[in-house]
Amino acid sequence: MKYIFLFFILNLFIFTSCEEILNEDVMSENVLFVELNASQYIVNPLDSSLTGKYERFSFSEGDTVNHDDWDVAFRGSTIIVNGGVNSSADQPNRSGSAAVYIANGIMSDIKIVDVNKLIEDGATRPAIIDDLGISGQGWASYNQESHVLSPIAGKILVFRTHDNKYAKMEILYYYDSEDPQPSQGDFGGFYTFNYVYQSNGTINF
Amino acid sequence: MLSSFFSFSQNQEDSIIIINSKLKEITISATKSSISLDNLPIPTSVITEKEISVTSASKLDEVITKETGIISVPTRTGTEGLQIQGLDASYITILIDGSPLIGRSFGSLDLNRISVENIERIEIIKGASSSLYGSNALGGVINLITKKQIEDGYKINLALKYSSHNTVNPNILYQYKRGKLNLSNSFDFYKTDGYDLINSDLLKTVNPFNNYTFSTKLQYGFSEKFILNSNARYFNQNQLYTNEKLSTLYEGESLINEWNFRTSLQYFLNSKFSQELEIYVTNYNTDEFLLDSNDMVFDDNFYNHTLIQSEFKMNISLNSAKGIIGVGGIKEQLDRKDFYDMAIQDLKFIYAQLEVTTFDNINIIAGTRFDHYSNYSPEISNKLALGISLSDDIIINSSIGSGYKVPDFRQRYFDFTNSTIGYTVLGRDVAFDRLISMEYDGIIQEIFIPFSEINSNLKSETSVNLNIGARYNLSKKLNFNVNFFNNKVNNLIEWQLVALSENNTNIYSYFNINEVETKGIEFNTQYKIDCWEIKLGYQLLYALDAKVLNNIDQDTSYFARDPQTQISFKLNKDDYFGLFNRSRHTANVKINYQLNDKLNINTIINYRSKYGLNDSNGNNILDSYDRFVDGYCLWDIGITQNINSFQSFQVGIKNVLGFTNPEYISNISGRLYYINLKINLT
Repeated sequence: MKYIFLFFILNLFIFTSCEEILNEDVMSENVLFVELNASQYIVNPLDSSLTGKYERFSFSEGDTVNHDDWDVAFRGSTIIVNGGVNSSADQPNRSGSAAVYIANGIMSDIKIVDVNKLIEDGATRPAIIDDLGISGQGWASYNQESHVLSPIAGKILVFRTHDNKYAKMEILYYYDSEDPQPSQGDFGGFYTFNYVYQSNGTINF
Repeated sequence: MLSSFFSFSQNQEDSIIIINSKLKEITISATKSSISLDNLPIPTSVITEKEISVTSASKLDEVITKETGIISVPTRTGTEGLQIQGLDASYITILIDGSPLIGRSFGSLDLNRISVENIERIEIIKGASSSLYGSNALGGVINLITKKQIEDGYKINLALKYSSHNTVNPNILYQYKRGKLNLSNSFDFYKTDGYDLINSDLLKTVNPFNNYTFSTKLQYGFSEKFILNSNARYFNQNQLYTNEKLSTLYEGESLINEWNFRTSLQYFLNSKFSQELEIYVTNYNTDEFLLDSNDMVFDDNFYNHTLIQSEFKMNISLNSAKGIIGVGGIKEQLDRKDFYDMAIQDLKFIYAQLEVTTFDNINIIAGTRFDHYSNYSPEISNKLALGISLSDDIIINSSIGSGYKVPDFRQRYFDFTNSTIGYTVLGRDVAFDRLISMEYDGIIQEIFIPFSEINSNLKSETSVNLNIGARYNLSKKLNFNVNFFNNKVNNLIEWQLVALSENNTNIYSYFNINEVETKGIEFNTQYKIDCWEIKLGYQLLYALDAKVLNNIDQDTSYFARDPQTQISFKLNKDDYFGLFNRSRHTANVKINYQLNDKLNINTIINYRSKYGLNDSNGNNILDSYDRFVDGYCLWDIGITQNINSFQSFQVGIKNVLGFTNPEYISNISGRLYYINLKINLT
């Protein structure tokens, strides 16, 4: 009898959560964020490592934040998440369980989070390869001649936030000028991106 | 008796060629024996001495790029490379009197190395010809035939050409024949100030250089049966070498030394049977260095390549059939900077070819070749060609052939690190060991391709080439020539990112990854009336990477960005343009006006449609959203005036419209004026 009751409760739970998912489509909408300024960094020419300030971003607040409940942070071309461990001492405090992976496709194609692909930042390197775009295996590619960094088309960053919600992001542009001239000091670090935040904790967008 | 023995000797054959060439064009490269161009079922074109002369050309690139479907493209190292049927310079063999030139830079032979003042004709065979010429003859073979005196006596040609960029080009050609001795010597000197297309930097586009070529050719008949042929050529070039590092200009020198020597003995047993033993040795070496402010050498490059080839060839000629069997060997050695070790290669080969004419109107050529490498897997190449004369005016030609290219030394032994930009390229034979030791040293940050996939040899690039064409002689004045071609190249070798080192430098190695197809139509027509000769040529080309097409089909998508919103979208099949540096359309118009031996006016217009040089939107393919290089036209005019029987002069303008594209096209320097004085003594 006790078990039948439990089963009933469980059923009810599943049923209602299904209903919730079906109603959730309206909740997630595409938001454009223009020129998040993560340009406060210096490149060390000897080993091409970066130093400087990470700019933290929270999907739920839809803005840059200065507290520990951030989801993703940017410094130059480096992207870290609020989950996992520091790979260098100057990174902001990690308090959450955020993770990320890069999916191939356009924003509307990414309808469900592939949770198996999510990776938290590691001690040797962040989940998203931090190579200044040189290998072209991350979110950006680096042009050896013009030194311009461009977000690779068809790369969508899929996030688990610090508090186990989900979001997807397409980085559109990395500069604050239309025709960047890195050789004249125009180094970029200004992220313009589209994102969709799923606030209800489901993996569907 | 003498004449009977000579009935199939070289000399006799030469005079036949001369007599015939006035009626019909003769070619030898396509079959390694002389055959009339009309009877040859393999796509071949011939550039005659007159065509070379009326363009007042000094170097091979000025001549060859006027041909339909042949373009020259600037290479990474500033030299020029060719493209035939959409295949690039690595897949083209260049021969002088049948012997191959060496000294390729990134696969391409610099056309400016070859002066044309002693060239009688240039034969171009399009499509795979590995069944006769072995490795590298996938796209085609270019054979430069040097001049030879036919009648007893001597001939001296002197020329002095002056053109823009302070370019001076004097040359002398001396030919002599007496009985069994036939001698031809030439000397060509070329000096230019170079030019600069971009003024905002410290470097010139082309630095000043000078070069000279000395060549000599000797033929001597010991008897009616034995004939000795020897050619020697020496080329020397000296160019200012500069580099800009951290806004400082460094100067140095770039030196090229090249020589080749060929000698052969022909034995004519009778009119049906002859044999030839040939030895060819060539060396190409370069030295390039920069000096610092204290005149100390700090950037020193060297390249030293030697090739020794010996070949024994037998020709059998029956009424309606001709056969050739050849055996030989090639030894090659390359010592250069940034090589793991000295590269050595030994090759033994055997080939056979049969030409048959049946029913008076069917020509068949069948050939096969077997190449056995000492340190590489053997290759077999075949060719079959069929020509049918439907009537006196219509000939249908078709040919199918295979081609191959062994991985070149660079793809196997390269061990190069560019410290300025920051990348490393490892040849396939050294990559595994080098990467393992780098990993052991802890300087590998990221591995993209498992090292186990590198621990094997590269395969040869192979191709299958198909040509189907027709020639229609509407009248003696007007003819049409059309050819459909298709080349499928498998196992194309390209570099791929293997790993990323700790300090963010990319490490590349070579892989057989691509499968490309080039296909198209080449159309030529020629119209002669009175003093006029008009030629039109057009090539339509599709050059595609089969893997990209496949990926698009299977929805493994490629993306681009909307230029306004920057939002990514999926590309369609129609958005894929094809391979880099290929133009869909190339065309030419040549008009020649010859007035009674006195005056000749020659004009050539070449057109090349738009093409893409790099993947500007970072999706690894060339698509319609990438930045393209605009199409362009080059227009040349030249006038030749014969003052009297032994003096003439030429004036002209090359690139009349003054076209330049400093950003993308470094080998077009703008409008050029020239004057050329010629003296012919006999």
